[in-house]
Amino acid sequence: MPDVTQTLDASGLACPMPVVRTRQAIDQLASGEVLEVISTDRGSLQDIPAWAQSTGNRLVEQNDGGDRFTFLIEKA
Amino acid sequence: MGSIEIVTIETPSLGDRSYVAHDGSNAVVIDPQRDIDRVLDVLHEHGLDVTHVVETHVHNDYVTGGHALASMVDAAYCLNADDDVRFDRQGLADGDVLTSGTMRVRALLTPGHTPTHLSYVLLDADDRAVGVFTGGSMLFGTVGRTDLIGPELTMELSRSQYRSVRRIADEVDDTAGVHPTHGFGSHCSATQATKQSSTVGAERGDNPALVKSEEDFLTELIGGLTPYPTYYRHMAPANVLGPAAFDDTPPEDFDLERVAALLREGAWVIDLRNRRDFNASFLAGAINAELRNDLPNYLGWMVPFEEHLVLVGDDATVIGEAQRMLARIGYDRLQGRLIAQSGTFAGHELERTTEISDFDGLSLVADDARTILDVRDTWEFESGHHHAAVHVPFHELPERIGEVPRGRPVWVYCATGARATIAASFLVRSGFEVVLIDDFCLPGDVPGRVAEPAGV
Repeated sequence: MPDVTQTLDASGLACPMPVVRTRQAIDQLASGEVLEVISTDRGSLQDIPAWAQSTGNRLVEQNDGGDRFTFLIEKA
Repeated sequence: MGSIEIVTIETPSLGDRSYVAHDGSNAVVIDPQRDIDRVLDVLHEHGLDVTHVVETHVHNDYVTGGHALASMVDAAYCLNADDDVRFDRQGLADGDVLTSGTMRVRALLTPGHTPTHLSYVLLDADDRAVGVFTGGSMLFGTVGRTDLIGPELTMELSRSQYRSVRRIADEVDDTAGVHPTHGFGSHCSATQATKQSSTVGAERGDNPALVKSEEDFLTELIGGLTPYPTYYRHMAPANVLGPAAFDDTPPEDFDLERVAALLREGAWVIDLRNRRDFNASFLAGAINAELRNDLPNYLGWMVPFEEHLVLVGDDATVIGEAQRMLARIGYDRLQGRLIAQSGTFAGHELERTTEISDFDGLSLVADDARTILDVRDTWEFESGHHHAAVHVPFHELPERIGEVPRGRPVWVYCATGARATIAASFLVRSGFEVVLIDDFCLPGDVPGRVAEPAGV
């Protein structure tokens, strides 16, 4: 598992805010650095991987904790 | 008896929390949701006897489980004595104290979110404030919204809210934990909380009601209010009647022809499948609401509250989850379900397909050959949008559908595609030809060519 550069806790936020905050956080990172995103919005399971794909950032890992979801995204 | 513990029960789909405060033997339950089986699980796990079920207010965003829980566990059901309800309960006034084992709970009148809102200070045997249950008053770094009762009361309630949050800070120890009901994605919060826990002392540093002047607070609070689900207006009337517990009995299995016949009569069929599967093959008239946290909010805006719904989904589990989410906001009237695989609707007279595209695909179509519909909230639209987009916020689409030009395909988008697919299915139901833009348009994005300056 890659080293996490920064963690974004988007718990409690509703669509589209987890993706909005993810983009803001990724903008602050350098290429190759890894952002961990925590969300409680199950829509994130669909939105964050789709967003990563559309922007070319690499989804390294995702975990479905039932009502808590985590994602590792490596900035392109 | 052990020390006092507070168990939090999260309801992410509504952005709310409920609580069980206990001393190892006795428990007080605060603001339970409709599906009280989750509370009963906590009670059984810890071996607790509930003495009181308390409500901070007559809720506007969900149907309460309080009435059903109190009668099931034979506990006192406590609300503000001034709440006009149609069932027996223990009416509370400011300063009243309830005793539950080694715990005591003191009611604190904190109007603002509603005119009769109570907070509850949890005291231990040494009279120390362990925590305060703040409902829709003091939230994490924000406050509960003040516009739910009616526009004519919003200013007065906002001023009350300012004083109520200050009262909590004045009367409750800084070390006491703050335990709000709203603010975790809830539309009952004026703005969204970004913390997972807080104390009265921590709120003193960043809660707008505690760090701003009253006038600045009012400007920010009233200016920042976002649309709230129209189903809210049905919640208080349901809650004053003393709602029954959630019934998880699955709805009747309908076959395809029965669902189709109902659709022809204008019934509301909610198809929970993901947008790719749905748009590839669905029954005309069905609404595509993916099983996401926002499901109750979105359907609350789109589907008339009194309707009898049919649920369509990939399997019984998904339909059962949706049933639970919908029951929390009082959509109890499920008449049937249909489990759909890919191919279920193939060849049926009502089968439809909606093309899925993206902003690149949109750019290949001439401006005068299509309508572009942006269904995001106003603040999102104003931060940047496609230059040719017609803007109708999602929650206003049912009443403003007449503003969407007919005769050309409607290309619909939102921020992530989630609202857009619901809107697209609603447009098909209303007779439009639709293309779903399953793409991202996050705040600040300007898809297509550069937007014209404001005012053009």
